[in-house]
Amino acid sequence: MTQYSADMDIVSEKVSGRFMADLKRGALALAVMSRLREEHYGYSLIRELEEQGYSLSQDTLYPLLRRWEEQEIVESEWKMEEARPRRYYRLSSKGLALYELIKAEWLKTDETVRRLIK
Amino acid sequence: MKLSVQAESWLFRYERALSRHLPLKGRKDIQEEIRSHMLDDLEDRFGTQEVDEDLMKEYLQKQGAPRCKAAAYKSDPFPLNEELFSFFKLMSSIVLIVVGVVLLITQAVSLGMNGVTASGVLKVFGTLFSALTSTLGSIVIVFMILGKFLPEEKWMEADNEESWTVDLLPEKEFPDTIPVGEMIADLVFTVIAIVLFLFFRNLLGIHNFSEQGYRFIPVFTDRFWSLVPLFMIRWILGIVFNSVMLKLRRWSLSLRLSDLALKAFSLAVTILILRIGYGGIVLTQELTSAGYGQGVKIFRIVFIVVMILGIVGGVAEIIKKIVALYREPVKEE
Repeated sequence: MTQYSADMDIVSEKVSGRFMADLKRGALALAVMSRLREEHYGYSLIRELEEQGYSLSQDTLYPLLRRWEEQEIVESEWKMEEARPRRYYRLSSKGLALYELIKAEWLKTDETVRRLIK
Repeated sequence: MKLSVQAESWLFRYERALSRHLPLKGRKDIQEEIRSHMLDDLEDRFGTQEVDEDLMKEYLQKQGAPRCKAAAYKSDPFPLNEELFSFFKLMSSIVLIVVGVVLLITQAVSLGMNGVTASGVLKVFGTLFSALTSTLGSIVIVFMILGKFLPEEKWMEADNEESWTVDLLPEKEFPDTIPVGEMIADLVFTVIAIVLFLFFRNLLGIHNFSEQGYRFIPVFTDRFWSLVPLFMIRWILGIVFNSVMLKLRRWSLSLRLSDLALKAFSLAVTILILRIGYGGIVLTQELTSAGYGQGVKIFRIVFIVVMILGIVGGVAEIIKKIVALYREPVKEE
């Protein structure tokens, strides 16, 4: 057994899972906002994020979008498509400004962390 | 993608169960969006294949307990969960408007009858302010207590993710659910009545403002006040009953019987008041000699009409409860 795998045995799945979830949660807003520069309905947004390697559940996405709509970060509109209504979301001008701000901060943090863990 | 009739029915059951747990604000919108999402998901999974009952049940099982799905939409804008907060806003608006309007009318009538004076107008505003603040205070206390003793999970049935299965989705519209809003309204009004009869008894009468100064004319007889402990017992039992119902959020045989007993108690008190009669309840002679003869005459008719309506309504309510006892499924304890 290598030292690495021995250490991994000490870290319980629960603990590592929590760290991973926190890490992912930190990127959630930026990931979702990045796709909402174009119009998306919930399901298509989840699929597109999944294709890009970022998976999230509908139970995370929809409440988040509702909160953002209340904060005027996104705008939404119901459209009738394929005999059923779909709710389309996109970033508002306030949301776009916020996205640029968060993106810049993320890139700065990313650069720092990369330097730290090198 | 096509859904079989049974599959459609299971989807409907799931949506109905989910709807019960979603916040009141935007409930329809959220429900519509979740439905749209699930149909997109089903289409992606099953393509042109028909989704039958088994496939749908398997899919819904993977979706998880409706309560857990709905929990993601809840937030706590108050020491209460959102559902309770919505009721708080609704109840406080209704109660404050009703109390404000009733007080304003009675005080205005009183002022009009006794002549408008500066001190009289000031007294009206003072009474209005004091009554509205104590009413709001009572409502806040009731809701704080409810929020403290009935934490969010207590409002929900125990269908957590681990134990939940799709077969738990009821076929019929939850027959034994309770009218939460009605019960909270009942609780709030009962507490206000108790506060009023215990601490603001001196408000229950005619406040006369005239050139000679302020005069309070009592309206109720000692016989009426001797009935107040009876009202208190009924109100306190009502509070206990409503609190238990709000905590359990479903009917049981003993709760149905308790409800029936409370309704019978109220009916008995109403009959007792009618038997005592208007003259035994209201100080008619004193009011007439104070110049309120016309009002005494009008309220004599109103009293009889209200009492008769109360008795007829009470009997109808008891019959309805007995029918419900036989018709609706209740858990034997």
